[in-house]
Amino acid sequence: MTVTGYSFRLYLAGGTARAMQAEAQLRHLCETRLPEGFELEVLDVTDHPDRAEEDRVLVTPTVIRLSPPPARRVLGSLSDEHRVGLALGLPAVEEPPGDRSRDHA
Amino acid sequence: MRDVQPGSPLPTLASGIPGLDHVTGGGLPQGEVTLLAGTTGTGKSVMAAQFLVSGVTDAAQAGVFVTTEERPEKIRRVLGTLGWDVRAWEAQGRWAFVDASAGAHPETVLGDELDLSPLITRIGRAVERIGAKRVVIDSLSHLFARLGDRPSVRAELHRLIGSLEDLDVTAIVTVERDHEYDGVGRFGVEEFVADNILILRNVFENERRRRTIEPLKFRGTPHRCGEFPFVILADRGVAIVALSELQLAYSAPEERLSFSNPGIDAMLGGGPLRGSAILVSGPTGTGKSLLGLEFLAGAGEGERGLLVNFEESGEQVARNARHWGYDLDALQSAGRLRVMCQYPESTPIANHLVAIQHALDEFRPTRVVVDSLSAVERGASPRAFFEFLLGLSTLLKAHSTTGLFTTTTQSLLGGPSATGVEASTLLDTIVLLRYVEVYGELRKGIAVLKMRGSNHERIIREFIITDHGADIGEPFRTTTGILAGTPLELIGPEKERVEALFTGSPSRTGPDHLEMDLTTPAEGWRNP
Repeated sequence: MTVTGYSFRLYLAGGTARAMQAEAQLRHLCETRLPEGFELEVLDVTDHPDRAEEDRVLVTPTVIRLSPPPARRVLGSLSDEHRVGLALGLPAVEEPPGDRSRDHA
Repeated sequence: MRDVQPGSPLPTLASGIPGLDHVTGGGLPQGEVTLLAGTTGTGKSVMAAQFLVSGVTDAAQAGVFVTTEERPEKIRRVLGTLGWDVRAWEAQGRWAFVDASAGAHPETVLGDELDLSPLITRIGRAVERIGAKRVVIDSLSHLFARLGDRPSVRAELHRLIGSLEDLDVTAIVTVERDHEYDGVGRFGVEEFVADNILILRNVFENERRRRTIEPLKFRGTPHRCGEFPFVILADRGVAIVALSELQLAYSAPEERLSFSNPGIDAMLGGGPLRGSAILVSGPTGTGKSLLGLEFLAGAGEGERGLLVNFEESGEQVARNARHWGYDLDALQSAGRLRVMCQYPESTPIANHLVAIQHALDEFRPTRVVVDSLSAVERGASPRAFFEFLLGLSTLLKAHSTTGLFTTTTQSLLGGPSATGVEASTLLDTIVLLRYVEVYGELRKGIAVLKMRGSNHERIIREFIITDHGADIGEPFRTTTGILAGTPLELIGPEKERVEALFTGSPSRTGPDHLEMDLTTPAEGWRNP
């Protein structure tokens, strides 16, 4: 577990261009907002059907924020970084160190 | 959509829901999706689940339940209260849940292009894993609401429905509605499953709830039209009350039955015809219930009787019967009689019909007495009451069971009409009981107003209640106006003329309603 404690699971559908794009978008977002690091597990629904069943996945891509709690999910497109960041409760961009008053979590 | 050979009937799957297959014209279209639409609380989820349950218990077909709103654990619990052990079936590989419900956590749906492949795949895997032939999605609307009204969502839901057909399963998909009589589903979701649509309603009328199902369309099969009442029973789920479910082409038996009182049989041309429906109508206290008992008591060897009482408790019924010398408890112990006491206001009227139907199926009585119809009528809208009567008389005729129903008229002296015009067409025989005021005494009269298929007496006789039952006495030859409620005694030459009115000149009386005008006294008559 990293210092910040952020960990995600991303479900994708196969090695399509869309899937790869979704993964890239998410990684970029997390790298930007979570410079201290994060954990990301990427699962292909076709390779891991039981995991998809367990997590009740309906749609790809689906991002599940596993920690810190509370859990959140984003379904559908990950291209709008701002909205995905809000939905996942990530810290805002360019936050001055130590100032948590603008935390959007 | 499946290919169909021109001219061949589409294959159907028995739904397992009592009465439903009759209403749809023969089960659900096999291999296709049927939409089940209804407002909140109409029973869609129960009916859909029951379709799967019946597959498991009656047809050895496994089923997959895709739940979009409730968690599987809650569904197991709810279905458990209906007596269905879903968990056991899951362990046996005959039932599988696909949990498509949202969790408690916040969820955001973004973008215009959603891909429902994971859900479609999950359903396909579950179907394959247990070899399911039946699938339920409950509800499609909730899924639609969760994903939002985006361009891709409709297309993906369409693809989802299409995938069910590719899986070679017969499916029920539930859909929410907002109004009972406006459109099919919320969001216009009905465009996805255009071929087979059932609408459930739970309408409030006359201070009572009335559940109905309407087969709106069924591609390729001639379905019944209109709304059909149904019930949800605590121990069995949904049962549709299909009023004319049974063949109407039953034979009219010639055989006659007997009352325990030969005097009544004589008035009925020898006795009531088997399979006929007899109405006994009269003011309170004239002895209708007693007549019902005498009908049951006239049962012969091998006969069984069913008494459905809506007026009194079992104890009261037994006590009254003992007073006239009938031991109902002994008859019940001997398996010759069953007594059902119901509170008419306690449940919707359709439930009473279903309860009677069960009693007919299990106990197979040859005679049924319903005491009284008035109690049932009080607690129902006119339409619901007519459906009850229609259903009841149809059921009895189909079983060749002879029925006697009592009804209370409102005025003490009776009046011209035995019952509503509509209802009287369902009745083969009408017996009237009336009070007769004679020289300051309150006596009772009995007359057979009509009897289909047989001659009957047209004489109004005295009806005497003794401590051993009913006695049929002498005719009221010198009194007229009894049935109209204004008895008058005749003197002189008018007597013969009026007598003719009672002995049935065809021009004065019709078979289905009483038309005698005896309310205006003529010269030479005087009040008794």
